[in-house]
Amino acid sequence: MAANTADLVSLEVLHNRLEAIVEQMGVTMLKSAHSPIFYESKDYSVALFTPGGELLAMGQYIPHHQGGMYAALAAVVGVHPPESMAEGDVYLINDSYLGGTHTADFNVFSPIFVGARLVAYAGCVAHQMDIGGMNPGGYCPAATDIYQEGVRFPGVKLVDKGVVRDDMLRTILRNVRLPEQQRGDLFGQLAALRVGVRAIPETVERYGVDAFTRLCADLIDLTERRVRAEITALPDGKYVAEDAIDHDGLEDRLFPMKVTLTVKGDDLTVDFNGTGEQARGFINASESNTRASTIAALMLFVDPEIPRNHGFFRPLTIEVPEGTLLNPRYPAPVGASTTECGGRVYDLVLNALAQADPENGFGTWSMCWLGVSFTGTDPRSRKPFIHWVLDGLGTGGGGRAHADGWNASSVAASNCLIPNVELEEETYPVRFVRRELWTDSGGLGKYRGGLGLETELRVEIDCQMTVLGSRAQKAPPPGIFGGGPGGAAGVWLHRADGSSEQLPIKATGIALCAGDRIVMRAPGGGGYGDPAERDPALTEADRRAGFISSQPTGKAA
Amino acid sequence: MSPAVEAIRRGDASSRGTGFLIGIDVGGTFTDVVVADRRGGTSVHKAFTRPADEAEGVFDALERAARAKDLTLEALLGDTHRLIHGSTVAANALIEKKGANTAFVTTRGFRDTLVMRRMFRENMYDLRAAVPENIIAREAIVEVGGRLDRDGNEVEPMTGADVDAVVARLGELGIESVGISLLFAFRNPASEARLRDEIAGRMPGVYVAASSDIVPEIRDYERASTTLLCAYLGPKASVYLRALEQRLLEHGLACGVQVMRSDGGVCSVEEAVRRPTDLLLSGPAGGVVAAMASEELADEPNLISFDMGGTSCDISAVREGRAVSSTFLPRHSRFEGWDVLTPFLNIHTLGSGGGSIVWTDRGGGLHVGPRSAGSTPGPACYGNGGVEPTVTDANVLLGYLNPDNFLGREFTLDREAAVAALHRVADPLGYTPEALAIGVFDIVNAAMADRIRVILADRGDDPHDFTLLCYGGAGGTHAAAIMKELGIRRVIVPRDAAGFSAAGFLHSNEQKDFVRTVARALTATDAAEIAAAFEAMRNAAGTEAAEDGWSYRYQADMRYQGQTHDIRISLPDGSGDPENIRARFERAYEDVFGYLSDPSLIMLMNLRLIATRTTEKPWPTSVMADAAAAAPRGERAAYFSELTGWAAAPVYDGGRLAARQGCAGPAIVELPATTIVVRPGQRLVTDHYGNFVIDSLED
Repeated sequence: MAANTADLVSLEVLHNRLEAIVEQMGVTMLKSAHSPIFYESKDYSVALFTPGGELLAMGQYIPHHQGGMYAALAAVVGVHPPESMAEGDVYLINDSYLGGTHTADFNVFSPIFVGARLVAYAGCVAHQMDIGGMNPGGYCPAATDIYQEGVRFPGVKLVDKGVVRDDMLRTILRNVRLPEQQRGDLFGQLAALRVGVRAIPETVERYGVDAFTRLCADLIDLTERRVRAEITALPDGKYVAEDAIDHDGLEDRLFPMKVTLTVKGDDLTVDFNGTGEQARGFINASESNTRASTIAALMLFVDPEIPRNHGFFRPLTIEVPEGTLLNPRYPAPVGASTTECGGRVYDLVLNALAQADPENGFGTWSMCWLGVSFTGTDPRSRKPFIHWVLDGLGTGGGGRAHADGWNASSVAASNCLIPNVELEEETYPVRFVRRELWTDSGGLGKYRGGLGLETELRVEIDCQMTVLGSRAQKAPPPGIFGGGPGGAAGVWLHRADGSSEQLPIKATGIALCAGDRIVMRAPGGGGYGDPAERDPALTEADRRAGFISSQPTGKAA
Repeated sequence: MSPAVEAIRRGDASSRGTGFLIGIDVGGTFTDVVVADRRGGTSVHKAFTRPADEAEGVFDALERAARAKDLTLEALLGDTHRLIHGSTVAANALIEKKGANTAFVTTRGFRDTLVMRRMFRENMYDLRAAVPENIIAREAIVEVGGRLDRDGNEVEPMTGADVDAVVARLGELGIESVGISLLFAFRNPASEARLRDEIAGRMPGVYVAASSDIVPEIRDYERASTTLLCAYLGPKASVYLRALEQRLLEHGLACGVQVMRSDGGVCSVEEAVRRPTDLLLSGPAGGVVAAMASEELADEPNLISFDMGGTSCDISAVREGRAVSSTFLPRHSRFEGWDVLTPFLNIHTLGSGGGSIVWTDRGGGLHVGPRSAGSTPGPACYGNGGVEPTVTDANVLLGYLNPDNFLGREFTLDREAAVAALHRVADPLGYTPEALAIGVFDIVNAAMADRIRVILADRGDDPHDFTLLCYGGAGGTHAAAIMKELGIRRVIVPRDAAGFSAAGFLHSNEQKDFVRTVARALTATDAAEIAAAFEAMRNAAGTEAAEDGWSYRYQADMRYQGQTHDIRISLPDGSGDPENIRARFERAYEDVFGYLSDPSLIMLMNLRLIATRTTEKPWPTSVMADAAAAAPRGERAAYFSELTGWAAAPVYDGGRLAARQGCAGPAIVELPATTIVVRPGQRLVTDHYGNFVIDSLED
């Protein structure tokens, strides 16, 4: 490790530079992407990797994306060894059984050379609006295998020495439902890679290739030491958390999940034994997704100032039994892996970490989203449209040791922004009736969980609807240390003819008529500590603000 | 050479008559008054800012200016043709959360738009972060019935009972100010106007801001946020600006007060009171305006304006003589956590400056900032009790700053305290304070260079095409090193680096801006529609172009369908030819992103009209006379990593360097407001106006 001041200084200079490059790549993606899912829900990530494939810099995007990219890059390199790569190449992979998250996430990578030396990889992953498959929009609640979920590219060359391969591009666009937009998204990803490919060689020049390589290794070592220092601070022992997923798209029952966290010195073992068998439906998380989410959960728990890189991987041993929800056998469907089983991995690991360190823990801050999509043909443009309503990202944050949770905070591990109502209505045939914090949805506790978001909207045309959520009545977000659960997610359909029903939390092929209204509730946050210990002044303030109703029921709705 | 400069060269000053132009910039510590004399010459006068009442500091500085000219205040003001004020009243009220007791009215079902704030969190990884305190209580957000659809049609009426209920509720809340923003009011302002008039009529004395008056542009959250800020800041801005103008008029001011706006233009006090978000960057805008418009910088069309002070650093880019104004981008258009949609110059503020603190993490990594020692206690060398080492402390140890001649000898620096502070961090690492200081200097310069790269990359620009224009107290010490880091060939430090913003005010023009949201595919928009929108905006401007000297600029915000980020393009006129608009968009888009999509996906989001009226500018300051070369007044040991060691650097008194005089690096030039460090391999020369120009002598 850094033996003299010059090295420590170079390290900090390099760290700042890499973060700036990653930021520049991300802004390029944000500005050039053509689909709202990128710019509003920021469902994309960028990263830089060492020539050995270790994560070097990742910025503030979606951390499980980047852990998935690590495995995806390894898969690409397995097919295209570095000596076969050339400057200007870009490789595409979206097959989570080989490495990555779910099929909708397109990972692209470029090798970066200085002279003949490979010095780094630039990567970008982005959730595509559509990937073919049986349902528009990438999520297929009725799928029973991965073939039904869309087209996969197992590590193919998309750009050859700077020239986009027309045969590949046509193949991709021919297999998706929104080819024009998705072409723009894909080119946005390529633009982001180019930023990294241009900037890294300039940076290397400052140090020379050998010194740059050594400094990169030092940066990762430095992070590893800081993460290990945090683990050391946790009391040695075993911490167990159990939870479940409700509904797999085919069956409305609980699918159990369990984690045992073992802290020993500066090592952390995360063992998912006890997790239920793989589901028939699309909620399974591939092994690489499970690992990525585990590491990401650790990133959310420790000191936010520690540079996020491969140093987080090293203190962790992850055990995932095969044939389970978290390591299914091919070809089980995995379309909803990131926010279903993968999302629950976050909740489990964070819960177990909270037990180890109550001062820094929090009630459940759901890492799931309540996705509702409308698909059909827009009469104004006469083109097919896919409208993912992103309001379901407004989950309540968990109560903390000294503060209430964030209201409608966006899921824990994301930087998403909820779209403006006016832009939603300009773009899609819907009208929003209301979008408000859902009263009484925060889990009770010494510190209350945050409120979930409740949205009501009306469709203006006949269309099809898909629902993808969890944390409904059977499995609401748990509180911690005596705190109550957050309000359960749900979707209600109010027909124009006056009839009403609550929909299953995962459903597809629902035919809507113009004028039908949908009410959707994102789950509230889990409470922290015994509600009896809550400061009455806080309760009074909650009542004044309307966060709780004037006649509290004593438990969350 | 411009006609103005030629006139000066001819000594042709008599035809100008007499009179003054005055710029007043209220900063955190000092209030600067710059007085330009029509007969030639510009002078800067300073007084301490009085935080309790900015006007007191303004009058202190004006009194000093009058005394320096052997005039009474009345005589000075009585012969003043323009007075431009940059005020921190709005920014401070927002930072200190001392705005008005405010309520907000919005469409039923959407009161939480201003509570959730689009679910933004500052640091995604910090799940323990406190929820930011809101400037408005949830219970003070009042919902009103009625709904407009996307075309502005009333699909649910706002009834008289709805209006009565709102007024009744506002009465209960006992507020001083109200913001109103209804969904789709940018398409049809009638409902907002009705509410505004009813509230104003029935609640006299209450300040009312309606979104369709302030920024009639699509984006309900950001429009509401901007309107809320106007309501929150309006009463305070109103009291301050009106009282100041009144008092100046009573002291004989011969013109109205013009207020510096965040977009680099100026407006009247009344206009600023109506839209106080325009005041948020009032001060920093001045430096950028100078970078754009100053005659003295006419040969430098591409500038990075770099203002580094004690606690923060403002960076912005001027390309081809025009400030790069960005279209709205979440996170980049935010003040104290609030998004602002009204136009402003693209000024990026970094929380790093001379006061940034040096620290080590638990893994042994070394960092500088973002935490700052601020102005109290300030760097350890200030001797005000600061014990943590800062960038300024490192600069003292490295010999860049003169402990006995700092900030115009306002106070001396304690070198021992600086060294002791550096020891605190250096010792556990096993380094010498000197080695640490060298590292701190490198880290800071590289981080500034990174920021500049990111800002320029935003438009696909290359730093090599730019000159660094550096002002602010801490800038001169770092500029030449940052220039090396970026591979830039030239740095300019203005003659009066401290009064640069105030001087910039004098280069501003009157400006009004207008926007109409279209939000349609370009292919579905015809020329007549676009021309009609521009015509409507010209009418709203209420000015007859030719007669009053107003001129117009035409712009369009565009994107591909599905995107949320717009690219702003300039249009040659308001005729609205879609083919021309398409070509301009595609050129701009391809420049930045390197690819194009199907033209059928091009969306025309907003049309903008900027009305500008040129105002009287100061004449370039008298050309400095050539004189005998000034000798250095001494030398000082300073550390230069280029020489891998210490060197005896000649120290010059910047005030004594005449035109075309210079020195080769390593050298140090001391000025009252800043200290310029010239690196080895560079040469500093003063230009005709007395500005300091540093050029790289290396390839």
